[in-house]
Amino acid sequence: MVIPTIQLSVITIVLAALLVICIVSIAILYIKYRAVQRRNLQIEQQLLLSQMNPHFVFNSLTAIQSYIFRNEAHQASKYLASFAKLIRLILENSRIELNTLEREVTTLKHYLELQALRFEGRFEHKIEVDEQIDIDNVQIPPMLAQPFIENAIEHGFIHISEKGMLNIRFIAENKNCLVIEVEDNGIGIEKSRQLQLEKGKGHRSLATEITQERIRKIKCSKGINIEMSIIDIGTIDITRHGTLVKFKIPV
Amino acid sequence: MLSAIVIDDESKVRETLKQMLSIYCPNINVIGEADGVESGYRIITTQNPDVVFLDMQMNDGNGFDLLNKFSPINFQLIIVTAYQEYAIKAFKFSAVDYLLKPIDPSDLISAVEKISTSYNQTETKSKFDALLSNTVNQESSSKKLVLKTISGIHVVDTDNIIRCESHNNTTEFIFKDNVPIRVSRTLKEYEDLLDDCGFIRCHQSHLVNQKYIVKVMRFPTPAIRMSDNSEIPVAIRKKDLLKGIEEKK
Repeated sequence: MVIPTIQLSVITIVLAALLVICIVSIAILYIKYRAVQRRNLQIEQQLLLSQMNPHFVFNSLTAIQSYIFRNEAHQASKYLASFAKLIRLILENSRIELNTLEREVTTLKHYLELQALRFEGRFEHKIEVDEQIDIDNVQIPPMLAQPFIENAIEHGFIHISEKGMLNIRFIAENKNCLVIEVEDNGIGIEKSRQLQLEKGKGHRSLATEITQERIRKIKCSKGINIEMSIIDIGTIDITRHGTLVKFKIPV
Repeated sequence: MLSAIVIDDESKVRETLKQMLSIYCPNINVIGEADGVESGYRIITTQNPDVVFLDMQMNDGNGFDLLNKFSPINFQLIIVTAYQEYAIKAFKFSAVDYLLKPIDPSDLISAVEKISTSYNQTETKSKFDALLSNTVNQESSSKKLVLKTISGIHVVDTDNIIRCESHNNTTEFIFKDNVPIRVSRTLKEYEDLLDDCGFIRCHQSHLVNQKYIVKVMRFPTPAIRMSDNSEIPVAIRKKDLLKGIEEKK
């Protein structure tokens, strides 16, 4: 069969146009992919920095130094080892997207032990894990609640008269859903924001921002849909004050 | 004997510092402590210490907020900081000494020695004036730079520096309207410091203020002429820098 010349040139043009469209869309996709990758890397770095906050790191080391000068070798070594374990866990966490609950609880324990050393007498803390949870097999994104724990300790407990209380709970809401709760009796997130504004610092909640970004990222890469809610306890019960941060994680 | 006050919002840090002072600096007598800007201000005004050890980041504000309340600053100051990039750069600009946490005993000893031997109120004051002015005008590209020479300290505007030239391990500053000043620090230190102020290192021995470049020459060898009529060679591998400058001119 003979194809007329005119038809042939039309086919050529269409094919050429298709090819161009293909190349352009591949290029666009590639650029987008690179942008997403860069953003992910940024989130990872931010996360690492929020966990290894330089103030936390250097002030913890200074607190350990005080035991050295008091010649309390046992205490000094104990906290130094705790510090080393924590750094090791955080470095390992930065490479993985999911962590077993068992490791998560260990990491938090070391973290809280060092914060309690830094702020001796400022607060008491408790970690509760629901007995129904299989801590060796349940997997969650590492240190999701850490930025909020840090906020509670470093800012929340300062303006209250009673002793700070920090409760971290891991609850099995049902077979497929794990709830993490961080509850403190600090001044509450609303008042904390107000104070920051009064000081003239336009306060952006870095903890909330980083965590929301992370939740978005986890949804994209793992398809896990985490719900986060932040409640100022004073708005529910005016006789109390504090902040409750809740994560609902499908497992 | 010098009386001292320790200001830090973490009690453990204050404790460590007090222990270290009692061990390494017997001429320092700690007469009080405070945990923030407000309490720090109160204790300094009531106790009139010779020396204040000040943490830069505290809960109710930073160390600059506290220093701003004093005019003039009539005490010696040793800044103690965990980490704060912009603050450390500000200290270097103003030639203010600072200690990093955890504190190295030998750094503490030398910082205390420095203040006990060379107490000079006017110098201290001009350093802190420069420091405060730089922190207030953080966004501005012109900063106050404190240069220490044998004869004393000079506070200069970075905007008035035409160029810096290295001679061995010293750096000579050439100004728009002042006699040159030579300091015994390396050009590299000033390259890092003046990076954000429009300076470029065009040659191993030269750091120039872009503002004062009047002509770019490519032949026979790449060079630039500055507003003081000096001709500064440009290293071959820094040639690309010239492109950017030519475009701007």
